[in-house]
Amino acid sequence: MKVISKKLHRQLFGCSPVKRQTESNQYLQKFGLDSVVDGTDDTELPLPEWVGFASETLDKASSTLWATSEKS
Amino acid sequence: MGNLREKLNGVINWDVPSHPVAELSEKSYPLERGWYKRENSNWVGCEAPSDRVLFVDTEAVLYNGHRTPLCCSAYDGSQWFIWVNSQHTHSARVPDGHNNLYIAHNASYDRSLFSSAYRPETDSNNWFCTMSAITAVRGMSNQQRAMYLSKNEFAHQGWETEATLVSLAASLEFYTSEKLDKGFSKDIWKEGLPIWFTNAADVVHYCCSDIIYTVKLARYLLPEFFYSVPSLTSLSGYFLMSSEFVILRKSWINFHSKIERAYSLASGRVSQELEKLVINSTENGFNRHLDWTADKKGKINWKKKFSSKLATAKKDHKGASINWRECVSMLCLTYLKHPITWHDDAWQYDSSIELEEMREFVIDEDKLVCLPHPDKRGMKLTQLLIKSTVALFDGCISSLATDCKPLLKDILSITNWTSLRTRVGDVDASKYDTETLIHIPQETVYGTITRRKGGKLFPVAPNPKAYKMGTELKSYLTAPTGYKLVKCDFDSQEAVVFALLGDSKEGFVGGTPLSVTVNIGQKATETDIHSMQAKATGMSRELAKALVYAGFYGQGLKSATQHILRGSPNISPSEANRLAKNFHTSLKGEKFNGLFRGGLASSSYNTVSRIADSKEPRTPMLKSRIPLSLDTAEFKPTRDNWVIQSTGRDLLDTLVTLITYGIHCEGIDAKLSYTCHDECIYICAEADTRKLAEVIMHCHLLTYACLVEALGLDTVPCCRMYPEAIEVDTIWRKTVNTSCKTPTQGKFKVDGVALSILDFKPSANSN
Repeated sequence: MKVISKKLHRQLFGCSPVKRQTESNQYLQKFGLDSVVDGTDDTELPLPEWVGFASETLDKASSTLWATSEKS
Repeated sequence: MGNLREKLNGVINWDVPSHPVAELSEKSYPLERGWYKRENSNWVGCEAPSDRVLFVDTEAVLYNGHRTPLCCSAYDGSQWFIWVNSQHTHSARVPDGHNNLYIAHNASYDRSLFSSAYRPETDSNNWFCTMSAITAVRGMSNQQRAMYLSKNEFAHQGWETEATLVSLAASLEFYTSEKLDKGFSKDIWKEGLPIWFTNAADVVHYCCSDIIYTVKLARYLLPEFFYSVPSLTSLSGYFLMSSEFVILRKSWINFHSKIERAYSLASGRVSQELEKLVINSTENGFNRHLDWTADKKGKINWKKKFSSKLATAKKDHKGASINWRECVSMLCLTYLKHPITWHDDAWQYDSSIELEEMREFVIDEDKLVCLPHPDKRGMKLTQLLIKSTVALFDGCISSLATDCKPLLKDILSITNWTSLRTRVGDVDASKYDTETLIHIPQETVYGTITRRKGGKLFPVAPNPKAYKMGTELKSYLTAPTGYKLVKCDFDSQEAVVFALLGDSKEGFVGGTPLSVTVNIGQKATETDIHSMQAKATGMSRELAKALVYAGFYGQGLKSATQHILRGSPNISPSEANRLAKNFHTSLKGEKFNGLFRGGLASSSYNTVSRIADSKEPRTPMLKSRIPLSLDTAEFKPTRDNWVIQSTGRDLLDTLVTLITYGIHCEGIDAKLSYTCHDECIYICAEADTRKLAEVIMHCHLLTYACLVEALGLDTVPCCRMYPEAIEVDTIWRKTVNTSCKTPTQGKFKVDGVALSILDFKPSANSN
């Protein structure tokens, strides 16, 4: 299974991805399934400026939109 | 100005107001249309209140087929306001101010009567509904409500002391034991406009009283609400969805009458054909349950009764009905080739007889099996030709009477409209621009205990079907001139949530077989979850698919056995039980020390169960609490399902919040119009649609990133980065390629384009 690239991971979570736990792959192999592999950034859209770390962006979005009584 | 949450919080400390006019007499309320404020025991004319937190209540009547407000009362913590209406026109609305936070019980009803809601491009008011709040905090599931309302005694389990019905009277009584008499509300609606001319003072008085009750309720309810739904993102999603509106094609004005005409013609034909069928009928295996004995004059008993019933119906300008058992029995219907008959107060089929064509047979009552009820599991099916059974006619139920085929087609064509006609007739739409109308849906933002939206029309509207009249309903939803609808949803949302919850135990995505099958499994290579379950248990993929989803929602072994029996009547109960056991073992695994192990989805079941059984169950993402009514050891499937559905709601709140922020940052001319389940529909200026679609792509990724982070997972699977497609369309339909042709709407071709991630890659731009 492919996951997002290391670069995008760092942009969204502010850290490098952890090393996968390979022993769980035996569990998956029982079902004839693949292990996890990193994706590449050529399949990903570059993030716009207003996107920072995922949870920080969400906090900012939630508080900015309702900071005043006026709707955005 | 504090933020909206602080404003709501402030209300908790308000004093309960005294009634503005305790001894209101007819002379003491103003007669001229307009807003008034209470000053020195007088009503003084004023502008509509603005920049305030206002409790509001509106009284309205049906006038010329439109809801028309008679009066509105408002209270801002120190000042009372009223608006009275002396010019009753069908387009009358409460002319309200701006930058207000309105609080009301069943707020969508009041909002639909306020003029600002009909100008979404400039509307700066927000609405908070105490009925939504009580639903999230102390609402009941359908099962609980049925038990609560049941006249029969049920074993009191304790939950009922923490639960309440959600009406204003019931909610306030729950907290204060105060009993409200809401009878006058019914009088207003029943009497209509004349009550305003005879009893206006009482109407205004009643309207102000409701505000006092709502303030009282809010003081108890809001602290509980903030404890139950603590996230600012949840509140943000709530406020965005409480401002929804839909734009309809101008021809909506004639939609109801157009379908009614077609319905009237078709139902007239159906009645005539049914009558002919009954009159000319002879005894056969399908209709032998009727009393075929004859009286002294040779008249058959059941036909005599039928004639009398028909005569009564004709006096009311009606005819033979598809709800009459005699009529249904003449259609010679079979269920999976087994003849259907009426027995023991239900429609049943004889599992021992198989019919390819019409022939004589005798029903064996010992072999009769009840037809499955499509809506209520385990209930007897007493009406066969209704909207929810129509799907069974697609392969399961058919007619052996060849001359009945056109009649059956007509019947199936009208069943859908029978259930929709009143709700469509109730839609109040106003002119928006030269080509469109605007409608404010009366939908409760938290309509269920899982905080999913409740609504009677659009959320349950079917997709267009070529053989069902009126099913073009959704296609009337459109964008104003110069704008487009931009739509997105979460692909397989519930399955993905369930899989990621399982991964959270392992600590990384793809950590469980379910996660891998859901995220990268393919039907073509038989690695999707349905194919894998089918292979593991020896059943068809279709049946496995139905059981997989039912399994996610907490279906037990007994229920799965019944499910298999319904779909495969040739399988014996013991074989069905064996298959169900195999299926459950393969999906859930075996239970050791209270935990499932070895199944495709063991980790997911264990995680969901751990959350649902925890001391204070909360969603993993935005930390919303389970309603207090479900804080019990009972209703395990409902509590498990709450974990998945409420997390789905968190995803939607997150997505719409992020998209709105993206719209704000990018300066896009777009606004959330409507949400339905996990689908969001934006109205966007044509020139900005591509920009909005790109924002949605990023926000979809961010939403899943927030979920995996909240679950303690390491990253996001590529397949969940971007939605499969973002549809830029002229009307609301499933996809841009979906045909909207129905018996009442001919070929209807409009533009629409589906944008995928490939359309946003640099290579795509350069082409």
